[in-house]
Amino acid sequence: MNRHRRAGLFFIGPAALFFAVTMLVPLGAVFLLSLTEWTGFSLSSITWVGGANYEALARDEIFWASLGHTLTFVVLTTIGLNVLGFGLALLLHSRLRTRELLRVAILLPLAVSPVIAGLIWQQMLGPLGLVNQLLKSLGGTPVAFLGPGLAFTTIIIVSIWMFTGYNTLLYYAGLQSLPQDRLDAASVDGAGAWGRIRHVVIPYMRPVIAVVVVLNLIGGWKVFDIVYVLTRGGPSRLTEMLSTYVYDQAFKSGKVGYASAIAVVVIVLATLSALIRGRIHGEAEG
Amino acid sequence: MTAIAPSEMPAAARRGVDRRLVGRVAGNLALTLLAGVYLLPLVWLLSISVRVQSDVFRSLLIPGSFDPANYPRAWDKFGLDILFLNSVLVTVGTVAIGVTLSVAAAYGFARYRSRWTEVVYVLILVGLMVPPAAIIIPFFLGMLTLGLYDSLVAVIVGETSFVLAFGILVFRGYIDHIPHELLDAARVDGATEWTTFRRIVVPLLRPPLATVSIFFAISTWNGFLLPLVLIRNTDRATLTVGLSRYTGQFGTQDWNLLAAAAVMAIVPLLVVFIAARRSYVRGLSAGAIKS
Repeated sequence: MNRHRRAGLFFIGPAALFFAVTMLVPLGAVFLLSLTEWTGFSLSSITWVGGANYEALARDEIFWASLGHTLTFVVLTTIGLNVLGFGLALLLHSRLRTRELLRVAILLPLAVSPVIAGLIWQQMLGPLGLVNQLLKSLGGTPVAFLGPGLAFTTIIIVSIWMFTGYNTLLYYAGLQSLPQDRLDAASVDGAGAWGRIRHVVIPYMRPVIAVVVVLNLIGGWKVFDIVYVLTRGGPSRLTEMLSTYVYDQAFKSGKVGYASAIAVVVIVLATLSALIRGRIHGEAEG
Repeated sequence: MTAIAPSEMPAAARRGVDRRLVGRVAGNLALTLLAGVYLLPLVWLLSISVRVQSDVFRSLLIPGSFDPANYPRAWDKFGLDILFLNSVLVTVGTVAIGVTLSVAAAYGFARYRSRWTEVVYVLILVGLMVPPAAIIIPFFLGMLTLGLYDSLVAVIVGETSFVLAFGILVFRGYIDHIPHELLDAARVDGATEWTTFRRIVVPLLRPPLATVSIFFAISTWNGFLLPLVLIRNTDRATLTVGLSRYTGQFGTQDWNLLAAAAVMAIVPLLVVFIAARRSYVRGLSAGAIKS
């Protein structure tokens, strides 16, 4: 081995080895585990069942419901985060004096852990919390934000609250290189603010939008903490996500093989949503 | 602005000024309102944290009572000394190991390119997509087998594995921009690969080192699933797991104390975050645009 390759191995080796052991091996293992029936985490009780877990999944209503919830969550948070994130980035890009305040306000939630965010929102939206206090003082009736009717919406709103800053900052960074001359040209042509956004800003930002949308899609599949803290997947599984269902099946019900099959579905779907990027990007260039 | 009073201007220009003024006022109002909405939960938390028990759900935003002794009380009640210690250990461990591994690997990828290193690089980036819950089962089993279950080491290893790819991505973005002549010159001068890396490359990487460290710290300090699954003993719980016990149906009566605990759990990170805001933003854009 020449000196060049030895040095490469020296620098890359440790991280590659660490990655292989802590990411690739588990990915392979979860796939193998999904083909077994294993209850209770004891090696003697493991049996090979082939595709049986997947057949059982296909008949499991809770699984389909979790899949539907997760998909809805991924799509709605992606839409909400991008509309709000883009809008706020435009406001930050303006020369308005109060923009520093907004910048701080949307940055702060990024440093707050989902657990604490859940804690705050749970109380704030609770029966006695601030929002219901305000509703009562306005003569309204108390609203059960974490009840069957609204729990899912609440989770989406809290998630959007947590991550808007992320999108806003990415879009804001993209807007920095917006060509001023094109904007000016549009103004001369008589375009109003909305026309400039539609015909100049959005087309210019399309590659950035593609990246951000995919980041949100990928991030959406990772949702766990906020659901666990706010609802534990309830009431009556109405907010169960694939990730919380994996946790529930593996660590509450001890069905390791079955939970692994759900995990494989999550991995496949998260990977697929990363491939969408090519499509959005292709449209931008085409 | 100008010395001309609006009434002296032609009507059309006056309408333009009016419209701009109205737009500016409306814009500022919208900005302030939006900022208020985003700040509200945190302001409310702060307000609750200093109230006496009977006032918790009575006053709205302005506390009707003021008892800062909630803070030491919360510290004792929730055993925050242990929780803080564990969170600090996990965070410091992850940042130290994660930064070391990723900066070295990024240098390797940038400097010793071959078809194989590129394959490994892309493979590692795929790690960015894997949802933690999807591999938590084998992770748990592995730690159990290795005898690391219920130890902070298990959490550190897990958190490092999920942040590693991001670190490599950001560092490589910077290293690719270091002129090759600089590194080749060092080699000609007889420096070993290691010396070149240590003396020339690392000092140039101070900005991304800050960025990556903050990212790793935030993600680890706030991490939840890994300590939830990998730790059983309450003496080894982290802040997020310790405080999560008071959520759900089994909440606490002392919401004012829990709020004080939550404020204390947020503050250290918030201070670091605000101080290093620029690095964070830079990393965010670098990471996103390269990926």
